[in-house]
Amino acid sequence: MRPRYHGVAIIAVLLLIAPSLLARDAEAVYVEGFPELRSAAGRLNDLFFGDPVRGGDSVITGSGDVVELQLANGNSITVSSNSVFSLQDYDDGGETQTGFSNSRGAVTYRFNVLTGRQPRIQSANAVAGVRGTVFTVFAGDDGSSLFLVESGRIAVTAQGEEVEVSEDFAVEVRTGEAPGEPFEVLRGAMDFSGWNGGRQEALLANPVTAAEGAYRRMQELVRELNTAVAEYEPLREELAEARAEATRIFEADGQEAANEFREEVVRPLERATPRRFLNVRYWALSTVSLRRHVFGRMYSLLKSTYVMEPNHPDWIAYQSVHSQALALFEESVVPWLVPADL
Amino acid sequence: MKHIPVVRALRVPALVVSTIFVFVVACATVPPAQQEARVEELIAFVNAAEAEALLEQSGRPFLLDSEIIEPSNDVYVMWRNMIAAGWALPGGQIIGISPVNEHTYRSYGSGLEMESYFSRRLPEGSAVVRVQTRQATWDLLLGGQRDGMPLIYGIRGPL
Repeated sequence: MRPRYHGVAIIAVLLLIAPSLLARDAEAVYVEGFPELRSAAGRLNDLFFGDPVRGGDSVITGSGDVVELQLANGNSITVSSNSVFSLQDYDDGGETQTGFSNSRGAVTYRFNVLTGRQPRIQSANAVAGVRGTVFTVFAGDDGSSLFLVESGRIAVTAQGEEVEVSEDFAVEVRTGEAPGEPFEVLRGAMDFSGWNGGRQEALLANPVTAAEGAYRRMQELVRELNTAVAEYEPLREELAEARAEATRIFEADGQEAANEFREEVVRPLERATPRRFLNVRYWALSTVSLRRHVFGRMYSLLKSTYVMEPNHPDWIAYQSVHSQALALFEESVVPWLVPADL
Repeated sequence: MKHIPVVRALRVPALVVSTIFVFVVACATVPPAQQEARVEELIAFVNAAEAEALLEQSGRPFLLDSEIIEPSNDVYVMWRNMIAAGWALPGGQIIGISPVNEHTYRSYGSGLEMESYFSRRLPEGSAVVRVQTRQATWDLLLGGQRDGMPLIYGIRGPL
């Protein structure tokens, strides 16, 4: 059965939160090669020096491309070649925050200035808590990630388990698993392409294990999405009821009474509801990233490898897990998306 | 024999002039993706090209079956792997050219993803071209053009 889309409602709420979407979250202060910017509106354009990058946008780099972004607070982020890096706004206790994620490639965060709350930083399968630091997140072709700390500390969480990683240490998070044991890394000795080559080999050697891991991560993201929906829906209903009540008051007691009710009850709900909705969008778009850049990449690698052997057992087995993931995505996530997200 | 006034001085038969006129107008208005000659040219190109050349001849986002591939490096790796696996269109015969319309996405999937891809990501005048090779049948999703040859926006198959 085709799932019910919330398209019109989503657009209406997005319009309400438009001022936060239009805020300049980062600026491209260094551009090498021909990177691209996929805007929140779904358009793919070349990214140039000085271009603003906002919540909902993704920076996509190809071979030889490098982009350095400067955040409003002075911190910087370097997006290495062959990477996909996204910014997405979310609500954190009434404040709009911008989260960062790279579902592909390598991104280095130089967070020397930490004011207010910690930003949420994600790879395809894990979340990092920042403790004032410089670190790189590598996202592999099979959905695994590697967090490498150059200075300071980070806390990496996946599958409900947290691991602290300190300076000159790294931790690998295999897709669908908890973080492994941190291991020491000689500064400058970490080779992303070598590590990713190993992850690609692992994917081709056992595609079902990789796909099942990514599927577990998708289930985890859908759980987060459902929690956000459960927090948003009552507020949305409350707002609809309050608006109806304001109309009743206007008809029964006149304009002044209705205005008073609107100021006291409706307006606060109008401010709170879109903020709560930001989190629904955050988790929905995090799942889009996983679906597009992890499942899409795995599919593309395996399909192109087995294109002349459509009945190869590894390919058949992979497709079965892939279909399950797509069904979950279609059923649980797509209703919270608009066409531009896809 | 009747001559049309404009070219009377040249004594060119009206039928020849009309044929040339119709051919020129057709080439100018029919998108390359829907022109059999252009698609045949593309098939010959595909059979001889390396991954880098195929990447340049590809539109993005690319559609592999029903999977959207956005980064250029992913499209390059896909072509590289397919060539390494022996994929090509040997003896490719065009058995159908279907211009993309508002219903085409349904044959690729029923969800919002394909609906959005076909309505927002493809250039005007795109077409699904069914090609029969000696080994299998493939659907090429073609649109736009580069040096007169349609860009490959997608591959689906073997069917």
